[in-house]
Formats: sequence, C-alpha cells, structure tokens
Amino acid sequence: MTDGEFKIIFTGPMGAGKTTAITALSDQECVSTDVVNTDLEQCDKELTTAALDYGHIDIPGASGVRLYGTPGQERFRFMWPILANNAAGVIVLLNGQHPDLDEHLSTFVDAFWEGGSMPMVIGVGRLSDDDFFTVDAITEALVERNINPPVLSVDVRRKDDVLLLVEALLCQIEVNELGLAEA
Amino acid sequence: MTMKQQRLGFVGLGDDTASACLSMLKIMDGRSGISWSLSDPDSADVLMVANESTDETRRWDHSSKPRIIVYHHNEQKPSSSFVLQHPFRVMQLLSVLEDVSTLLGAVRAEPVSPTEKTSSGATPSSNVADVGEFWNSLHDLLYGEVPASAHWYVAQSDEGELWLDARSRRFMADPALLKRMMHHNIRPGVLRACNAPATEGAVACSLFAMSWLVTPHLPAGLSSWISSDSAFQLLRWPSFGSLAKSRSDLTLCALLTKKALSREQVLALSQAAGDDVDRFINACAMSGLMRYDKADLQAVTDATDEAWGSRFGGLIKGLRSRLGLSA
Repeated sequence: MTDGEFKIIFTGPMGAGKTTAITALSDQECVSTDVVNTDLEQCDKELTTAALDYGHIDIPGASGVRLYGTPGQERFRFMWPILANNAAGVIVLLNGQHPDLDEHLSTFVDAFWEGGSMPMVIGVGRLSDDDFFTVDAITEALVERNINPPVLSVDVRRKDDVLLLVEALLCQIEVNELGLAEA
Repeated sequence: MTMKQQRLGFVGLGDDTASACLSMLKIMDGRSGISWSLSDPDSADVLMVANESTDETRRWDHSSKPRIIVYHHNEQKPSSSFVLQHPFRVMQLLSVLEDVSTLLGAVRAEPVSPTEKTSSGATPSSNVADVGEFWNSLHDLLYGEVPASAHWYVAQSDEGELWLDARSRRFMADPALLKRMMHHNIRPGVLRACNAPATEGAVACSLFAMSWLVTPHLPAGLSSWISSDSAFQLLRWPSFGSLAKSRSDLTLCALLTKKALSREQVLALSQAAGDDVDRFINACAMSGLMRYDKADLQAVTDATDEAWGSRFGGLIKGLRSRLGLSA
C-alpha cells in the first residue's frame, strides 16, 4: 500500500451484493464494468461485473478511501490479485442460501487470505436474524483450517450492515498496526 | 432447608445393581438435601429401570414418574432425560438423583400446587429469578466436574421459559421472549432438569447468544471461576448475529484473536471500559470461545492514541467520521 492510499476490496461470488455494498458507501456514483450475465444458473440477474466496480469515500485532508469490487465469476479471476494489490483489507460477501456456499467460501477466502496478513471480514447474506448456526458453521470450518476472520450475518441492502463490515475491518487493521506478535 | 424424603423403586434391575445402588444411597445419606429410601415401584417417587424391554419394564413405559434408565456400556445410550451407564459411581448416581429431584421440585423447599407446575414439569423457585444462579448453574452443567446427566434443562424467567438442550449446547425459547431479552432485563433462574419440552414454535438460540444476552445483568466483574490473572485468548470470533455489539466489542475480538493477553493488557490496549471487558470475557468463556489459563505473558506496549492506526494517521479516524462510525 502506498502512502496516502487506502483501498478496501469487496469480493465474493456473483449476486452476493458487492456492487450494492459499494454503492451504499461511495460518495460518487459507483463505476461499474457490467456485461450481460451468461451464467444464469449461478445467479439470476441481467448484468454482472466483468472487471471491477469502483467507489470512493472523500476524507477531508486525505486522498480518501477507494472501494473496489472484484468480478464474482472465476473466469475473471485474473482481476482479483490486480485489485487486491496494496489493499488495506478485504470484505468477502457470500450468499448464505446458495447451494455452493462452501465452495464459494473456500474460493474467495483462499484467494485473498494471504496467510492471515490481509485483514478480512466475511459477510454472509440472506440469513434470518435468528440464524446463528450457519455463521457458526462457516466460522468453525475456517478455524479448522487456522483461518480466523470475523464472520457476520448481514443484509447489504441495509447501510448499517455494510458499516458493520467496514468497522470490523477497521478494528482488525488498527490491531495489526499495534504490531502485536501472533500468539 | 428441611430434609426431603423421596422413594426410589427398582424395575427389572439385577440384584447386584440394586444392591450396589442401595449401598451408594447409604454413602450419599446426608450429602444431599434429599433422603432416599427403597420402595416398591407402585409407591415410588422415582424409578430406576433396566434398559430392556420386558413385561416388567414395559409396564412403566408411560408412567408419569421420572425414570432413570440404567444401560450397559455395550448398549446404545437411551434417549431418556435421565440415564446412568452401568457400572456407575456414587457421584454419578448423586448427580442424576439431584437432577431428578429438581424436576420433582423437591430440592428448593416448599411444595407447589399442581397449577403452579410449568409445562415442562419443573417448578419455579421464586417469582423473581436470580440471573447469577442461572449463570452458575449453566457453568456447572457445561463445565462442572459431574457432567450434565439429563438431556433437557429449563430455567424460569418472569416472562417465560428457556430450555437448554445439554447435548447440543443450544437454548430453545419462544421467539418473543428472545426478542425481549435483547432489549430488557429478563432474568432466568437456575437451570433444572426437565422432560423434553414441547418446542413447537420455539427457536434455537446459540450458547454465545444466550450468554451475551445475560451477561449485562450479572454482578460486575469476572465470573467466579475465571481467575483475573489468567491469559485470555479468543479461539474465534463469536457469531453476534443480530445481537447488539459495539466497536469496543469488535476491537476486543480483533485483539484477543491475535494474542493471549491479561485483563490489564486488554484494558490498556483496547482502551475499553472494565465492565465491557469483563462482560466480553464472561460471555466468550461460557460459550467455549475463550481460552483462559495461567501463562507467562509477554509484555506489550500500552496503546496510546498515536499507536492506534499510526501508519494511516488520521485516515481511519477520518473515515469513521465520514461514515458516522465515530464513538
């Protein structure tokens, strides 16, 4: 990360809400690179991101915060490391009701975790308010692999939920800045 | 407390088992609030029944009396609430009998009328429950020296019942009660063994969620079984779901998943209030997410305002301000 640049990545499979989350935070209209979705089996929506989504939060006296959304489809995977380069942290969004949830979890966490050096938050959508157990199952599956990011149940259509993801990410970035050695 | 008298009847058990059990009851005499005596099954309050389907045992299949099923180690564990694996020890017998006796409402003094009995068969201890008793009984069931012998336990609150499935470590409750617990001081009382409840319409609540809801109403400080000079480490982030959580809670998660720290180090690094730190530790420890033991702790530098986010200067502060996340 270069001085003055602060970049947050939103990633996850198609239809998980990356563009929605960036739009909720960005001061300017989200820049999207949409193409016609030809993979209706994975997600029933008309357009999908091919290269990136981009949003920006203005911070007075600083260069601001850049928000990048990755494409969700694996055929555009070559874009993921390009966007993640120098990122301050990654927010992984998943659809908790998708039949391929486990596969999506592995794919996106493995792609961005970087051995734990990249602060990460996982937001799982489309769960009921009282469903603590899907989130527990995801967390425990990751802990078995020594991967320990926060997993939060969210609805990215609610701005407060998107802010919760950002706050959880900022808390991790701050703790990393304290320079505590891993236990 | 006056000594309660209870009668125990044996059904289908071999002479050796019955004889061993009687010897144990003599050893136990005076160690519990109940005096047990042998009785024929018809006039017994509680039955100890062999895990075999015979004419003798089948006769009691639908009895309203609590039944302790005695099974052998080469048999599948019965699904009954009260079970004992043969051969069993005195403490195991004592534990299951105390669970049964709480079901009968015998331990806590005064008898109640049938109309005061709850749907699950347990009896409320008083009108105003003590949440500390709930907390301690939950800890004893989950981490006590004698493991929970029953499948189901119930805690009475002034607004409804909470059921604990001791096997899956989940609570069940009416959704309206759980919702009220998120915003109000609902005080569940001590957990008592009960028959399997009718849980139609009830929803499951994780152990962490229940702990998080209850901890604000506990007396200040760490729970009595947690030594304040322990090193604390969070095994994983808890699942908050829709529970209320503050930035301070998220910071504690981030800190304690990173490194084992003493309470004082947590306070210094997180700059969180002592009550918030204690609540966090209590809830995470109860739900099995927090490791706490005596350990040599590495010194850490206290966090100053400058240390927080030093590389990014005021950027994170500015971002929080822009997003309305400032505390």
